[in-house]
Amino acid sequence: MSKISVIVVDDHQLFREGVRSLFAEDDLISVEGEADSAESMYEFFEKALPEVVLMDITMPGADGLSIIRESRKRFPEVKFIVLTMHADGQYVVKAVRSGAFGYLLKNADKEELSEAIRTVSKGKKYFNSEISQLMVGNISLEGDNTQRLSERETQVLQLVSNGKTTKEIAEELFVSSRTVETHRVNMMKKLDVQNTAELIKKAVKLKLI
Amino acid sequence: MKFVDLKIRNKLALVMILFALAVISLLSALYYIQFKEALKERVLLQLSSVKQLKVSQVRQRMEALVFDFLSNQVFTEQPDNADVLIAYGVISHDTVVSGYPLSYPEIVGSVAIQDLTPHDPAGQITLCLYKKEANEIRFGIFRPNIQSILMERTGLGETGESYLVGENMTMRSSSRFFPQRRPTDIVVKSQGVIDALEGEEGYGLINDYRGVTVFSAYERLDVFNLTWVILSEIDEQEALFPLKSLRTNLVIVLGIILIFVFIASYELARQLVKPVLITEEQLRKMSKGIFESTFDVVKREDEIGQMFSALERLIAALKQTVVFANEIGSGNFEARYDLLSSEDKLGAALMGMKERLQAYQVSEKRLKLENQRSLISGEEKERLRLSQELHDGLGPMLTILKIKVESSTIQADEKKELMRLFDETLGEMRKISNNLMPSVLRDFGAGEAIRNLLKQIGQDRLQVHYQYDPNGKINIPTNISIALYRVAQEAVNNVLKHARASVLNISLTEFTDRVSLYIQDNGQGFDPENVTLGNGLRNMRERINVENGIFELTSDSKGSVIEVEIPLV
Repeated sequence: MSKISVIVVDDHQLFREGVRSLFAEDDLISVEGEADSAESMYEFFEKALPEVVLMDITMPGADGLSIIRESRKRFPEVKFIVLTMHADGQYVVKAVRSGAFGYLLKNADKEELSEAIRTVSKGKKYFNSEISQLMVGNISLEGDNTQRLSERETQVLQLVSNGKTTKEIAEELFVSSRTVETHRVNMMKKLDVQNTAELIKKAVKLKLI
Repeated sequence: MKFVDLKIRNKLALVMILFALAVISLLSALYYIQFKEALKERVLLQLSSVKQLKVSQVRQRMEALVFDFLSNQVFTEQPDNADVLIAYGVISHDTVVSGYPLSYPEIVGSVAIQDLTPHDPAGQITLCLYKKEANEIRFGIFRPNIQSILMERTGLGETGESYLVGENMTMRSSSRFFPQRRPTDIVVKSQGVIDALEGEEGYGLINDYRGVTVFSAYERLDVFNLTWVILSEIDEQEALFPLKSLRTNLVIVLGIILIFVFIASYELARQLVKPVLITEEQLRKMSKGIFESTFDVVKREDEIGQMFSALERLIAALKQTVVFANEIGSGNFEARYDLLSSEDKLGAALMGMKERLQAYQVSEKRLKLENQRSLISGEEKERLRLSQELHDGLGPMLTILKIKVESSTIQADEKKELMRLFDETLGEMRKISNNLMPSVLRDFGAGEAIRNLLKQIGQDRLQVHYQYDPNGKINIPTNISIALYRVAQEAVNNVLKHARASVLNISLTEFTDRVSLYIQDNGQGFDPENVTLGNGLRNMRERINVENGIFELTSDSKGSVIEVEIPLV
């Protein structure tokens, strides 16, 4: 059984060397090469596709996540593990959306790193409990809401149709009255109506409430 | 003192009095003269008619006497004492003596008369009448009562009299003024007598026998061959007495008119001068910079009324200018001002000043804003740099060090201890970096950064609700994200430190054209005007101001609310 081929993409040479030295004696994992930019990474891909790429996402002049996204289209069989200093859920979510198979913090130890590489190389995703925790509540709903009422707007519309005043709605949704007004105006624009009465009528017709 | 220096009221009074005096004097003089002439004429006419009457009466009496004498009647009314003839030693009184002529005059016609009065010791009018009868001349001596005719003085007042003067210029009838003297002893050589003797009938103002000025009407009286002069006279003084009382009356009237004119002119002057004084007082005040109108304007349509309304307009215009200047002075550049006219230089200057101040204010505001902005952005840049240095510079170094240690051959438990220390150090460094500037803020915006911020609070006593409504179609500029995040950070810190709240509600809503942040707690509130955290509040407000946003803070005992809205241009 051949070793899992891995390359490290990071702008810190010492770090790349560190990772390489961690797996120098490893039986399952072999660090085949290093790159400090997208270009050098693609150069490496020309020679031989690695199974797993350990990817830093903050490098000077390059956004690691865009590299992953692009690379996923061109080389779908290459799996990426994000190895970063960023310990915020938003980055994890974004990494997942960009097509990363795993997300690790740079202070992960060798044990964890090799487990992640092994898991990912089998085509599974790897997120340890710490990372999973970070993700909770961060998967925001970025749908296409063109001309469609957002969740918040629907809420406001519901309250408006219940006969609540702007102030009452603002208190209930803990937003400012001005915000409620803006929601209302935006809804009227989206549904192409002139006033609140027409807004409710049209919303009922469209079965939005 | 010159006339022009006199006070107006004196001036006016003086002019009016002088004028009235001149007019009244002229009129009075004219009237007086005319009246005097009329009076004189009347007096003379009266005297003439009296004289005429006397003349005809005397003539009648004489003719009657002559008739009686000629008709040879018995003389019943003969003088009882023909003193003259007795003095002559010829006859007794009142006898007709036939054929005994004395030295008689030449008889022309039927009869001749001789005036014997000068010979009468009593001075009574004594006449000797002669008539030729055949070869003899008859004569009679008579004392006709002519005196009684002359004594009748009706209409001649106190000093009027009529008297007869003989050819020898002595009086024939008795004088009113010297009744005791013999008339023939009184010589009358007045102009009237002289003129009359020369045959001129006339009248005039002459000196009489007493040397008193009298009005006199005189005429030569020829009865048969007898020549007398009859005069009717009255003292000028008495005749002209109405003139005197007229003069007195005129003086009184003149005095009354002058007093009236004086009062009227004084009142008129007061009417004229009062508004002038009011105006003067008002102008004096205005020269001291007081633009209050203190006079009561009586509605008048005359020039003074026009002056008052012009003065009022002036005050109103100046007031308006003052108000405008005040407004500018207190920094209200919205104040409006309408130029009083195209010549309103003061107004135009103020407008110019306003515009310059306004421009200055605007540029100062912009400058201040730019200053704040550059201060804030400088600070944020520095924070970012430090945060990145830590995160991307120091962090990787620490991880490398950790890897090195991990792959070294030190003892396992020692290695474990070191690993723990590395993790703690990295965690601390991440916290510091995060505090300086969360990388999420730059990479994911304020909405996510605030979410992380609230996650870190982790307090049991505080219930935190966060609602983030992102808008995928817009890109919020980093500086606005930073501003929102800093406000949220400060507000959350305040709530944690001071509010003693149990609920914290935060919402961030991204619209296409604006983003709004709402932070509300149910804590004890504070007085926004007077708080020790004023610095933080000012920073929040400043940050939002710099982004042209709206920052509103309300707080009472039920909690505090911060509303922020920033336009996305």
